[in-house]
Amino acid sequence: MGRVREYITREIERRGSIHITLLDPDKVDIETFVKLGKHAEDAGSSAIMVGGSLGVNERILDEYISELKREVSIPIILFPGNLSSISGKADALWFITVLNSLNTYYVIEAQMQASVILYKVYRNLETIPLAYLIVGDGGAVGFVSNARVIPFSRAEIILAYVLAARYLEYPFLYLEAGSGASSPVPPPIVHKSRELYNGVLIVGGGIREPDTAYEIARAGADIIVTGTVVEKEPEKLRKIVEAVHRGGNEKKRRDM
Amino acid sequence: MKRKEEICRECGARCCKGPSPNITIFDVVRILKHLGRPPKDVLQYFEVYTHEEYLCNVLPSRYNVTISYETIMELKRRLGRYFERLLIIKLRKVDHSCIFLKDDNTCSIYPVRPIACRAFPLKVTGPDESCLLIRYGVDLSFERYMLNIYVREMEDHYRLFMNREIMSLEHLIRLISEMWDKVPIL
Repeated sequence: MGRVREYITREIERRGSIHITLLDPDKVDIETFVKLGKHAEDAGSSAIMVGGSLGVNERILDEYISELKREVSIPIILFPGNLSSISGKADALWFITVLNSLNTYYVIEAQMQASVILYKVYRNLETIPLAYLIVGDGGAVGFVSNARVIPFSRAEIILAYVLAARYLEYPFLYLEAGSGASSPVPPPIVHKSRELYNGVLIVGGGIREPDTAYEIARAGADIIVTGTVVEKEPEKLRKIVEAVHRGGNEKKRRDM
Repeated sequence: MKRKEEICRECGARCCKGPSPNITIFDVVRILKHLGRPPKDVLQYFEVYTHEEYLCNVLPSRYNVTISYETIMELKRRLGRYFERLLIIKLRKVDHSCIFLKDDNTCSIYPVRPIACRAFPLKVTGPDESCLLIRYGVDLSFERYMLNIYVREMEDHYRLFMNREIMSLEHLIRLISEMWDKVPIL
């Protein structure tokens, strides 16, 4: 097991639930990017994910991540939207498959192509396998990855996919409502997913309020990802992280 | 009481066969001068890495040790910008042992060996308990004296590397040339 994956696992054991900040290099200039990253670390985020659906390439990523790494010590994990969002400067890379994409490119072909590059060029870059399920609004990522986005009203289908991730033994599963989504994954769905899936459960998309973060962590999310909120209201982030840890603490106590 | 040399012979110079200690720019200058080699030959005797390369790639692959991300975070916090910018310079190893170690387990550059080697088994992080010198309770006042020098030279080294933004091999060779006449062969 790689170093970053071990660290994340230990952080979850310690806190119950952890928070990760997602930064999109396409949305901010490099100074803001570094500032937001520093702010995320100060606020208590356990890691920073770097990614976005559009508008990044290796050169931009190298530049942004190198600058950020000088300022923060928490790990920086790539959250690639496609083949062009790989950078050797990061500490790890989520090796993602979009479970509900209709386009096999996002299920396995991009991964096949990326594998050769990872093997040849980025042998030292840690990869962490991640099953990615796009639900609710779906946001830009749902559109770009041609996913058949599952509405929350069809919880049984979401849970069927969760079970598939369980039997495929994916160590990490991400329930994504889409960046800036109008509503986040409802806590009952998180709770049910928690019961069915025993890997690390990540929930993101549309989480803007500390109360929401608390409910989702308490319902069973191991990792809560927020992005847009740090871009718009950096001050609120600290309250969200605190709420995640509080929810995680309760979840931990309940699981014991 | 056994003499240090006897104890080291008994041990088989194990300290020279594990990971190299940190080498300062002053060590490099002293050793190259002693060997009569020009600054550009630095890579024939030393390896140059960033902290990150060394901790994340070299150390794990060579000595089969894993360094946890928490340790890296701690180092990053302590070293600040040094962590990313600074190039750490290491003695080059052949089969994991020090390039300067001779077949009879003695040092080929003993008079100018790195200060960290002179201070061993004392280290900044505390004494190395696996060393027989410690087990035999040998007087380590010389090593203690050397450790103080090491700390001082390390601070100067970091300051130099920071102020000059030593980030590439060319920078390093230029710095070695600059220091050439300023560092005497102890």
